[in-house]
Amino acid sequence: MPTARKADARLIDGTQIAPVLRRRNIVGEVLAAPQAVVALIILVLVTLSAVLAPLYARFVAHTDPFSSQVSATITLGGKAVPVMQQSTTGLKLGVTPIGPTWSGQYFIGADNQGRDVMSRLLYGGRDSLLIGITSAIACCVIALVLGVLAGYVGGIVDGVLSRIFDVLWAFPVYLLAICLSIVLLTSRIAFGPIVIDSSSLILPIAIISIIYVPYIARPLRAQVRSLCQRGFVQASISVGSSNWRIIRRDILPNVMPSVIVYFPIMVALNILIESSLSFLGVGVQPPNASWGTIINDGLPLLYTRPLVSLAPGIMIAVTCVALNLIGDTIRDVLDPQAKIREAV
Amino acid sequence: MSGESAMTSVNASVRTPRVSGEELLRVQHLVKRFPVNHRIGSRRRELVAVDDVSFSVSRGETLGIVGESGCGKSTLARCVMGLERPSGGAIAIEGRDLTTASKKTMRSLRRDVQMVFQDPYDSLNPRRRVGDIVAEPMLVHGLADAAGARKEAARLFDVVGLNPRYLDRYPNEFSGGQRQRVGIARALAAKPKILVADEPVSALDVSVQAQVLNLLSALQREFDLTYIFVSHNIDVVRYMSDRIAVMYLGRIVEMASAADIYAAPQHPYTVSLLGAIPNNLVGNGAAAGKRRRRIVLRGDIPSPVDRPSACPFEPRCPVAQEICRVRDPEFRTLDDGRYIACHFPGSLDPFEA
Repeated sequence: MPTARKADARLIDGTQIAPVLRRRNIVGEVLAAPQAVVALIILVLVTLSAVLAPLYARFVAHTDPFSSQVSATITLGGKAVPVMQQSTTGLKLGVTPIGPTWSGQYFIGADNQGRDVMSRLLYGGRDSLLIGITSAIACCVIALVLGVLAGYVGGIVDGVLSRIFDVLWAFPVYLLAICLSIVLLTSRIAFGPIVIDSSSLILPIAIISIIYVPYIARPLRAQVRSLCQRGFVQASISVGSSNWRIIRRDILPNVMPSVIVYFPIMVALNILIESSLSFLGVGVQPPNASWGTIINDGLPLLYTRPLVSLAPGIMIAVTCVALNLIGDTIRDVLDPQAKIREAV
Repeated sequence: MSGESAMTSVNASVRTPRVSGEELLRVQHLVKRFPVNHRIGSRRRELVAVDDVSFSVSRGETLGIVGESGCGKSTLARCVMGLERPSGGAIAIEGRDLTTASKKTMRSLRRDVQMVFQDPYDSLNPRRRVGDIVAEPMLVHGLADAAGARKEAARLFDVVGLNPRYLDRYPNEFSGGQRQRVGIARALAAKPKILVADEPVSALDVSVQAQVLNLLSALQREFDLTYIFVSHNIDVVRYMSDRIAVMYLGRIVEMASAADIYAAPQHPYTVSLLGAIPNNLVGNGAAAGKRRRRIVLRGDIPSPVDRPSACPFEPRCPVAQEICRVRDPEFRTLDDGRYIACHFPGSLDPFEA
């Protein structure tokens, strides 16, 4: 009786499918938050200024921000003014770099070597952002691979990886970073034909990306472990899907929101740690400049020309606040339960 | 009828067995133990979830497995699915042993046994379109290319009573019953011989349960499927099954045809399970018109860790005697072909005087 069967078996409950909950427009939801828009504008401006740094140096500041300019003079209000000004008080000993002119050349003054701080600030942004972003990408990728591996494979693999995470986690972040830096910077590194110069940016990127791996990999591992107990993963196993297929179709799409939430916060943390390392002299090495090295440059001028240190400090603070605002907004939209352990 | 639930009206229909007699699945002396977390220095302990269970299922038959929470029925189902590795015993599908199968045979055996999961909100990946979910088994086993799998998924949607227009939707757009239909379509997509349904309706609204059960019955006829139907609800199991196995603390305590179990339960535990059905008036069969006795079980189930050597039901059994405290009853065949593990089968009258 096929017709009778149709009558009862094909009865659809509710008859109508719920017309709700189409695919969410995540970007739209994030941009609906005003603080996210402000943060995004700030980040676009910071990035643009870093990208356009060479143009600024050449056409506005008319200077090479990486070479010493101690004997240079500039024309200010029709008069020639030396960049390094002789002291006019006391014993008239020593020189002070020129202060902010608020126009064209030496917009916010010069540092101890007579270099244009504004140009250096923009160039420094390049390195700081580059290191922050690439090490955050590297960190997230490494953490994703290790976290999924530990959580999915389990057993001995999980045990070994988890203990490695524990060891890394047990170190204070800055102590670990400084130790790694000192070891790596003082020795020339050669892997066969690849020789990494100690001034290469690859070193700080590598150091910084390793440090925060456990902070992302551990929560990801826990998430993967709980996903493996979920019905849909069990269903994929019973259907006969391969492990790789299960990871690709069932695991990764469900942990990606967390990675997306972590990413901007990681960029901010990495910029902070990069600046700290560079300030201490174990991060970005000369001739490269980053915001951290510029703060260090301004250290002897703190009483006379505080802006040299203050300006990169403000840039770091503004950038990190903006990144955190974006990260928080994405988290609120994507994953209200997610918690990130704030690094100290 | 309006005052009664959908379940009760569904029960009025009578199943006609169409069992071929050809054995499809054989489970022999299956044991599944789980290690229990133990403190350092203390004795290593094990939880016996499935304890020496044997049964076989014929092609086209439905074997119902019923028992209370924690009795091991889901673990048994997961072992048959190959989701758990048994600690001992053998599971053979058409003579091919699942427990010793190589990775490659395992994949093809997996295809033969598919599962309908308990929680339809958990068993569908929220980030995949339902059409892809249903197409997955066909792609994994190379039954179709991408276009063919999609076409087949649309056909399966029609078979399980969903509109094929919804193939590109995500699971969160469906109701519980609709999700369970998607899960059934996924199971069918692998063209299985055996369908293991682990509590397929217990997470669903009562009004939807009957629809899904009817769908499963209809599909069994249409695709010549063999079912292992696991539930804690003996009413649902009876409606679906040709034979019923009653599980208690990891063991089958009574196994017989659904009609026999219903009309004349022999094990006191089966009697108490049947007596717990809200409507205790027997509607049809040999005992029609009688009222079932309600037996409120007292006492606790023994822990599945360190089982006693007594009958595990003895602390709760209304008709327990001295021997029950001493000796564990063995699983034996009665004259009428039933299997039972009880020293005094039939000593508890299932009906009110």
